[in-house]
Order: sequence, then C-alpha cells, then structure tokens
Amino acid sequence: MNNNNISNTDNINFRELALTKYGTIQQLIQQGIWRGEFYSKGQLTRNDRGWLWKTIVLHSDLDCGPDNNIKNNNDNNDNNNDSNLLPVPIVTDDNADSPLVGEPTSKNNGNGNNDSSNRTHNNHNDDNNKSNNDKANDTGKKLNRGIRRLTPIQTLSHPLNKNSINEGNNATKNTVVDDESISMSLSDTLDIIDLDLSRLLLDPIFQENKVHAQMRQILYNYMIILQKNEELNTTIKINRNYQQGFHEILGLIYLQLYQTSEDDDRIAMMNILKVYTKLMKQVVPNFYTRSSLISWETEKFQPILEKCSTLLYDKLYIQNDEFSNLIWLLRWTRLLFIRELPMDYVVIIWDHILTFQYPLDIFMVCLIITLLLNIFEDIIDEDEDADNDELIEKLLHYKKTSGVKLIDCVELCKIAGNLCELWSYENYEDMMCICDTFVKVRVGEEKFNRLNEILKDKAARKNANSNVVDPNRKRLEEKLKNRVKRLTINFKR
Amino acid sequence: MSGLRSTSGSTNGKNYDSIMKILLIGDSGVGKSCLLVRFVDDKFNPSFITTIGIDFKIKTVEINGKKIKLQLWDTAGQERFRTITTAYYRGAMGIILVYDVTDEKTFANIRQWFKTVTEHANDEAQLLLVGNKSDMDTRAVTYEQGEELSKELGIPFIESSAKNDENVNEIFSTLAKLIQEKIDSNRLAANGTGKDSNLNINSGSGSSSKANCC
Repeated sequence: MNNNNISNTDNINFRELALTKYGTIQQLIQQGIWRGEFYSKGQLTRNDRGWLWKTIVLHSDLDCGPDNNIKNNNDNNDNNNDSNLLPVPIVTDDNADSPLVGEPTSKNNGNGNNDSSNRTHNNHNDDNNKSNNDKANDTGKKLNRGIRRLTPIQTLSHPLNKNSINEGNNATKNTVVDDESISMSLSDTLDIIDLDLSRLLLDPIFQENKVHAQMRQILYNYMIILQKNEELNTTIKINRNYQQGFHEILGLIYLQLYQTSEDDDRIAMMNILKVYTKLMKQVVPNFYTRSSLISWETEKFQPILEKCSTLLYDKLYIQNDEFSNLIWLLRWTRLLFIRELPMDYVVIIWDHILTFQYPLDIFMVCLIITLLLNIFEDIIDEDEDADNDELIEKLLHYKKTSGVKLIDCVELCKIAGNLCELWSYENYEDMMCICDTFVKVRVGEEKFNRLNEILKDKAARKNANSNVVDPNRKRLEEKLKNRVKRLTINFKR
Repeated sequence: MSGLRSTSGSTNGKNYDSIMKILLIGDSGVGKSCLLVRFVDDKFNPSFITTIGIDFKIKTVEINGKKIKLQLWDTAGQERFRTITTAYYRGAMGIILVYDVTDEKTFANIRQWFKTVTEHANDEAQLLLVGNKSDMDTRAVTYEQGEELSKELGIPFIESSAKNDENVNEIFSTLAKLIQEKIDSNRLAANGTGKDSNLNINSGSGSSSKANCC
C-alpha cells in the first residue's frame, strides 16, 4: 500500500521539530496542540498525526509526571508490545450462539482462543495475513449460509405462521426486551462487524481484504476487552455489545496509525487497539449507553447550553419537542463529529480530544455548543413558518448548514476548552459573555439585541400569564373571604 | 391522535403545498438508505455507509398538481432507542417497512417492526411493505410470501431494487398518494363539521411555537 500523502523526509522533519521544540509531552500538548503551533505550517499528514496520537495517548499512560520526556518515550515507543492480539475465532455451529466472553453455550470455549475446530493455520499476523483473509472470507460465506441476525430482538416465530398471530399479540408486553442487557452472540457480533466494515467508506483502503481482516480482528479484541473490563463497571450499567459506530471511530484511528513507518503490522495493530481502547473508555459509557446518553443530555448538555446562550437554549429546548434534540445529538456524539464536519476539521478536534485535558462528556458539550454558535443565525431562524423538523434537518446536515462559515478549528477547540474550564469553576457569567460576544460578532449587535428583546418579552408574557388567577379560583376565594368576614362579624357580636 | 397535517404553502412563500413526514424502518443492511438515495439523488452504491441513529432527506414531488415536500427519515436498523423512536415516530404520516428478499430473517423481523409501529405511530399513519433487492439471484423470500404477509398485516406491498432502479419511485409515489387520499377524505369529513381543524390536531409544537413567537 502506498501512502500518497507524504514522503518520509517530511515525516521525520515534523517529528524532529516536535522533539527538539518540546521537552515534555505536556509541552507538546499545550503548545503544539492547544496553542495550535502544529497547525501553523499547514495540515498534518496521516503519518505525522499517527505519531502524534501514539505519543500523546500511549505515552501519557506511562505518566511520569511533567518531566515525562518525549524523546525517551519515543524510543520506547514500539518495544513494549509483549502481547499479541487474539485471533478471531471461526464461527461454527458449536460456538455461534456463545457470548464473546464468559460461559459458552457449547462444549467449545468461546473466549476467542478457541481454534481447535479450525482447519486453517492459526492466524498470526506475521503470516502475511493470508489466513486472516481466508477467515474473513469464510465468515463472509457464512453470512449467506443461513440467516443473518442483525436485529437484537428476534421474532419467536415465522411471520407467515398463522398460529403466531395471537401469540404475537399476547406477547406484546413481554417483547419489551432491553437489548442492551442481553449479550450479543459471537456470530451476531461478527456478522454485524462484517456488515459495517464492508460499508465503511472513510477511505478506499477499507475495502481491501487485508485491512478488513485487521479491522475485524482489532474490533474483536476490543469487544473482548469491553466485555471483560471491570474498570468500566462504575455506578452505571453500560452497554457492552458491539454497536454501529464503533467501526467508524476505529477506522479514523486506523487511518492515522496503520502505516507509521517504523511499525510492522502487528505492532501497528496493537497501537491502534490501545489508542482506540483509551478513547472508547470515555465514549462508550457516555454516548453508547442509552440511559447515560439521556442523562448526559439533561444533566450536562442542557444546563451548560442554558448558561452559554439563553437564545439557543430557548430555541432548542423551550420551543422544541422534548427529546427531539437527541435525534441529532446521537450521531454527533457517537461518531465524535466524523460525519458532521470536513475531515481536516475532525482530525484536529480529535487531536484535542485525545489530549484528554477535559472530561470528554463536558468537552463534547462545549464543542457542540461552539459549533452551534457558528450556525447561530441558521438556528435562530426568524422564519415563522420554519418548523421543528427543519431545525433537526439543519443539525443533521451540519456540514451543509455551516458551509464556509466555520471558524478556524483550533480557535473552535480553544473556545470549547475555555468553556469547559469556566464550567468547572462555575463561572457562568464569563461563559455567557464568551458566547454572546461570539454571536454579536457573527450576527451583529443590533440583531443580537433584538433577538434578546423578543425572548425577554416572551418570558415576561409567560410570567404575566401565570400570574393571572383562574376565575373559578378567584370566585372561590371571594366566597371564602366573605364568609370569614361574616363569621368574624358574628363573633364580634 | 392524528398525524395528518397539511401545510398550506401558497401564502407563505414556500415552494410546496404540503409536507409529508415518511419513515423508513427495517433491519440493518436491507437497503433503506440505498432506496432513499436512489429516490432522492438517483444514485446507487452497493456498499452504502452505515446509518448512525437517524438521517433525513427531502424531496419535493408532485401529486395531482400539488407540490408535496416529502420529509424522508431514515433509521439505523440496529437502533432500539425508545426515547428517540418516540420522537421519531411522532407525526409520521407514512411508514415504509423494508426487508431484504435475500435474507429470511429480515423478513421474519417485519412482524417485530410492525409491532413497534403500532406501539409508537399514530393510527392514521399509512404503512407500506417493501421487499428490496429483488434483482438478486439469491432470493430467499418469494414475492408470494411478501404478498401474503402484507395481506395479513393489511398493508400494500411492493418489491423493489434500488440497484436496478426498479419500483423505487413507485414506493414513494404510492405512499404519497395514499397519504394524500387520507388527507383529502379527512378534509371532506372535516368540512362537515366546519373547519379543517381536524387536520391540525397534532401539528405538534411546530405550529404552536409559531403561534408563540409571532
């Protein structure tokens, strides 16, 4: 595979520059990324970015404090990969219904190391991935062998079986199954992974058999980590099944890291898995578990938005239906903007996300708010005929809506970072000031003031309405008052 | 709860007479997005990007001389987000249930989808059953089976191929016509009682917000 992005010399120059300029990873993060020094000389290539992500994500794990030296870490970079990825098991009739981890339902163990029933040679990655490709193809054939089960909730009977009709109706109450709490089987998981990978269009390389097989193996290994990992088992119950979107996040990481020049395939895959696992540790519990996505919206997104911009809050939450914002927030959060923004934007935002300077849930809120401020005039549409759905449409197609209006991405991340910081200090005044100033510059002070007046009027009208006492109640009160008066008079007498 | 809504557009400067909200549902990989892309952009790509959550497309069609803006909502087959689906089904006037004729399971799951529809959508929503990928040799569900199920569910049925552009336009025009007929008959009924207020019972906060912000 040729990397048409870049020549090796450019690659080394960027790294040498970074290494000579910044003594520690913290400096690299603060100056290189957050102050935007990396971006001043044009776009980073994939290789550069692959190196950058490895450096900031994997090496900061060593966490040697502020003296954490990049150079040393860089030397250690690829030598601490003592473990190998697990091979993806071949799906057989025996293990197909087993969960990925835990008690297998068949006599074979389903933990992924099971290759006893496997005719082909164990697929060590160094085997030029030949056997790996065969396996992907094997499973590809399996897809057509029987019935794909891509829907977690299954029917119990054939739809044309007349006897099933009544049963189906009676069973309505029992069909509300929480598919998040049911472990998807090995074959279902691999089927949907294969389906998603076959239509991963981030880059043409994902259609190559070798890349498909590698992505599949990394995802399989991640699923094992996710299902085994007790660390994630905090107060909330998280969804540990494969979910659509996992593949695309992995795809973006793969694209930056798969070909960093000094890595062989095995090490590259291991690094990709590590970066992915670290990122997903914050993404899955916050955004891929429904209950937590809902509470993220109500407990974080809404209150922060309200502090930042009363106008946006009013438009999205007072004038809009409850929950309809989840429709667009779902994809924005689950794919970390991959589909919402141009790719050169997305990767810069990811650079910032991967510095893990702020908790991802709050940083995402602030990034989203900053992006909304960029299309403020489209959201606060003065067209009285515009309905809710049009707003959702604009937000589902942010790329089109924002067009060329977007501010520089590094600036955008800085604003979002500032909002995060202010939120943590409960400095709401400054949060609002930042956002209002931004909007004033964008739409003009006059329009901004006018919109605020309208909002105030509306609030005032609402208050006035709520002060109006129900006439029936007023009558009753009068009656009671008179009665008390009468009684008092009687008593005095 | 009536989701039928007709927005009179001649006076508001918009280039359509009414809006119809239409949903596509069905298992992952049956070709919902492909059908939409074929219909809206007249394109086909054998591997279409996985839908995450919900997506949205718009196409204006003409029926009986009226310009109708179709709001086409596309869902991810894997999505079982009840909170979202409630918002999603709200106000839907037409719902297309899609299965893959080469994949028995997606056909079997139609009943499950039908159940979801009856739980969430309003009673007046017009349904349509679609068997997609009719061009494929590896068919596992016959036309007759599809037809039988559609009769049982009491909804119309079309087999289509997004790849060969067979019956794709028919899906949407059939549905839009059926919805228009419902709107018209409702309006007729409403005329008996006076205004066409029936039509706007569930225009949702969309129109109430209009009233608020005037």
